[in-house]
Amino acid sequence: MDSPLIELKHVYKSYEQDLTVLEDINLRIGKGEFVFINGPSGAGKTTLLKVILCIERSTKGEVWVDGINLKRLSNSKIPYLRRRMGMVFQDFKLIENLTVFENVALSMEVCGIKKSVIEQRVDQVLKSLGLEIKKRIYPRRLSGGEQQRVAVARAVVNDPLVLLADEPTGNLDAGRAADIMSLFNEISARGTTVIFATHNQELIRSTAKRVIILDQGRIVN
Amino acid sequence: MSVIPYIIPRTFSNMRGNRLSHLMTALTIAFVVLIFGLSTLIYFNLHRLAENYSREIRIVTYIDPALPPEDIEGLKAKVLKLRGVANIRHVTSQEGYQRLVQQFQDEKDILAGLGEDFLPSTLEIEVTGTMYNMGRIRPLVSELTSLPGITDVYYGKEWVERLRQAADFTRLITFAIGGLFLLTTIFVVSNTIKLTIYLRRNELETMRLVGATNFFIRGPFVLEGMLQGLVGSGLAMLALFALFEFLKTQVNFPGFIRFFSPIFLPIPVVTGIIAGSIILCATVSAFSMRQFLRV
Ligand SMILES: Nc1ncnc2c1ncn2[C@@H]1O[C@H](COP(=O)(O)OP(=O)(O)OP(=O)(O)O)[C@@H](O)[C@H]1O
Ligand SMILES: [Mg+2]
Repeated sequence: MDSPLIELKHVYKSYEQDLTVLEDINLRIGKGEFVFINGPSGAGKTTLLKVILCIERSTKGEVWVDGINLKRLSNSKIPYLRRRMGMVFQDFKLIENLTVFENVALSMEVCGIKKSVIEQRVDQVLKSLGLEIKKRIYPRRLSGGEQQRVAVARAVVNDPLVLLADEPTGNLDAGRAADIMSLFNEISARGTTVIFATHNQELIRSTAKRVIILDQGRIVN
Repeated sequence: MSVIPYIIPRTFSNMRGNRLSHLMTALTIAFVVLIFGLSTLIYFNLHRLAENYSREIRIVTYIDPALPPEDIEGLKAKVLKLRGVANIRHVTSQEGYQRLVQQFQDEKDILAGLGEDFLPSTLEIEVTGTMYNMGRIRPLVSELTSLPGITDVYYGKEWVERLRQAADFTRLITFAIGGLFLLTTIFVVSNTIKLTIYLRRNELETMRLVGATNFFIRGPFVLEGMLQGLVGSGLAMLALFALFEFLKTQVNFPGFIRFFSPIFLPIPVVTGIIAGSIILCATVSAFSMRQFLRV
């Protein structure tokens, strides 16, 4: 792994002065790699993903994504970085007054992609997640698991370079969770780097993939 | 490919989500533009009236009878060079006498015993007829008075002054209302934007998270401002026109302006007011966006 796609060097993050949420994180993740981030609630998994997506800036240390030092990235360039990454948010962050279709399409609209292309691609992704019949429905009329799958659809619709998934199977039954896992495997096989944050021990136990364990803001393995 | 096709429908959905506030904003803008337009309309017609009237203004100067007749041409040339002088006419004593004869056809006795040259010869001066020259009349009169060979200067002083004052006053009022218009627009437009941003804060945050640029996020708000400016000022101009047509049939003008028919604001002025409102509202929107929406 000569030049990793994502690299964190001695990264610290604190939201408040005396409370360190991430402490001396060193991490190298290669292109196309599939990595789990595991750890108890409050360990800092979400914060780590937010730092990579530049939602939060690290307090200390360097974060590199695809050769870009995020510290040097101006605010006006952030949107272009985010378009190449998809994130499944732990709280989904679906827009209430947009339909399922419109929520997923938004990721493509902000890039200025042609309407006909968007329609085709969104339909395809919704279908692969079993959501095509819910396409005209508003998020508040979906079950938790359905909302989660919409969030996944939105994150993968642009075929991102990096997929950041924050507890993406938390609300799903075993069957749906397995569907999501195989979707992620497929995406990863096509060259997308997948970072999968979860506190689910079982999921970790059954995988042969690389697992990074976070505890109280430190990498402990 | 550009994001513009996605910004336009977003603008309308923003406005639908906050209907009452947008309606109030458009109506408030309409109200202030209406008052501004009314004041402009009054100023505009007063200006026209003054222009008409000042075309009638004649300054009459009396030529010193001792002035040798060969110097009169030189005097005329000097007067013509003064600012505000459009035209002059030399009325000789004889011509003046003939006018009187015509005027008193039936009472010729009045003129009996007066020689044909009892009147001094005069220069009748037409001034260039614009409102702004009203202020020039007084200096012109004093310049005329100081010319050698001129003994006296007469003009419709009182009217000139009064019209000038009225026009100055309405202009001042128009500016004041313009200022009020500016402040009100800034206040209502930025408040609507603030409210929309508040109502849509989750959506705006999410858009940012999926890689929307500032242009994509702000575009709908600026468009929204432009629409409010257009609708508000358009309504105001329609209402002003209706009001104007109504007043025209109701008001009886005093005798001296009987022949003056007021006209509505010309198309370029109406267009200017609407375009100005659109630009103003869009600018206010853009600035409030910067203020309320942090990256
Ligand atoms: N915006 C914030 N402001 C202040 N503190 C925060 C903020 N976000 C997270 N924290 C704190 O940072 C710590 C780590 O939070 P984080 O959300 O990264 O944990 P997590 O590993 O994702 O937990 P979970 O498994 O429950 O999602 C927590 O103690 C939390 O209180
Ligand atoms: Mg979390």
